Amino acid sequence: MQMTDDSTLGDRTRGVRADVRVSTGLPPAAKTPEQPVPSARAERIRIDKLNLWYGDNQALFDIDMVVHERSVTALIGPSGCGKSTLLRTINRMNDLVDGVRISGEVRLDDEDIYHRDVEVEILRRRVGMVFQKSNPFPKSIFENVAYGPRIQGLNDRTALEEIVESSLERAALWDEVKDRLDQSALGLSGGQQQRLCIARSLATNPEVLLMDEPASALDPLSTGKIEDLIHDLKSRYTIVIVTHNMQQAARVSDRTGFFLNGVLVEEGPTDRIFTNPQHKDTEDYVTGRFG
Amino acid sequence: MSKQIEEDLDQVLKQILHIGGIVEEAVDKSLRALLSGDLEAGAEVIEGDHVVDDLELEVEEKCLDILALRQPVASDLRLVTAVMKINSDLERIGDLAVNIAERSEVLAAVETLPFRPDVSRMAAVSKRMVKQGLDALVRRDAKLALRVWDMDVEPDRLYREILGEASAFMQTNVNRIGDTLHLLGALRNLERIADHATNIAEDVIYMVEGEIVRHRVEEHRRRQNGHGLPDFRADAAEGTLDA
Repeated sequence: MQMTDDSTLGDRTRGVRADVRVSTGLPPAAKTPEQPVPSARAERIRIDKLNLWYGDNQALFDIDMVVHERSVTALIGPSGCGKSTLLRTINRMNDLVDGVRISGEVRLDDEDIYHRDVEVEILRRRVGMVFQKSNPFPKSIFENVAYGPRIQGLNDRTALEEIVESSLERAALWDEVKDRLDQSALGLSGGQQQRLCIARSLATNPEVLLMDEPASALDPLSTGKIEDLIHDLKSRYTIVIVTHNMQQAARVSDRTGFFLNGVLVEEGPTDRIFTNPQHKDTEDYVTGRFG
Repeated sequence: MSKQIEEDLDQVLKQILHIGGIVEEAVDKSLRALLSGDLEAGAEVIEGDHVVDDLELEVEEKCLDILALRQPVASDLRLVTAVMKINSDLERIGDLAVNIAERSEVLAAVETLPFRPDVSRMAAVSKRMVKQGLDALVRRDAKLALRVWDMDVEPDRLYREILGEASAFMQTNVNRIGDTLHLLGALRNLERIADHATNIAEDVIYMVEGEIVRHRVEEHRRRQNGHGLPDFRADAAEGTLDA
């Protein structure tokens, strides 16, 4: 892990300190002080002048972006544009990559998640992640979902059963697996495994769900179920999804951000991005004329 | 994928312009029948209408194929939706030209009615609106489309004036009530043609600028020129319009 000297990067720059653990987690979720429009959703994540380097290569350039609560934000763009990198900054998954350094801020409920006092485990409990390839543990369906609460110290069987059932229900998988919770998760279909991973993320009661190409390895039917699930989950969670599938972004998201070469070219309401993008690069990308 | 959709869009645009050309000619011929009693021109309009009807269906089917198979977005989506709506407008303009041609057959057989200058003016403006609406489509010119939209006050005004004059005329010329009603019917169709040209203009503005201006043109114009008035009206207000 490369440590960055703050003095060389200015006061907005700090090294990624995945190894720092302190006892305090993030403060309780702060409420947005005022909402100018009554129907507007509160700001949940604010990314401010975010730059990220992998060693000498800069991957993100001055990203400014706001994500509102109980909404779906899609990040689109060609391979290598920085969208997954940005997603991983939101729960500090990039801390695990050698040579990464960042400047700027990512704020969750107005608290800087890269502040030295932030406990990363607690952050990742609040900001769950679902990956492109489903990665169930080689354990039973029940134990997969109960895993997170267990490592948080919960061992009460009844409480665990309640969490497993509610998480599987929210992930739209309960009816399919309720009679075989003790069977191996590896026996589930690809689509079921992905929904199990979503249930596993939900079991720690997160506020934000990050999804990195969650349906790219699935058949259309399973993809449809994941998209329906995203739509249902939106009423409780703030979701940020990276997808290569532009139709999927159009179907599931409220807002879309288009990335190119590490720059957030355009971000706005999904209907506007797909009917009247303001930037030529966005227009070229969504209409398939890119490059 | 992008090459396929470009070919499809190019094809459908050519088709709609082809229909536009036919309809523009039909309007021209129907007005020749109305104003000059050119019944041959009128008959051609009536006989040729099925061509427009057939082409309308072709364009609609092509657009539905593009939507289903190519899933267009952004400017491509706006082009397809604009073409679908313009397609309907053109087909309706074709029908209205037929109606005018049919009324003209009756009017050609009777003594000329005394509203000719205003009728000629209304015909000229309406015809120009159709032509410039199609020009705006070809050139993807939102400013020209907005001018077409502004022109629609003139046919509306002329129609109301002729209606007033015709009412007075019929009170004193009861034997010509039937003829006058035929003329008013033709002019009502002409006024509707101008309305459809306005619709085309609105669709061109949406296609080019991505903004739906229907029912809120003043708002759109205020964003463009700061005062919301058509440029010629603003000029008049400042006393710079050459009368």
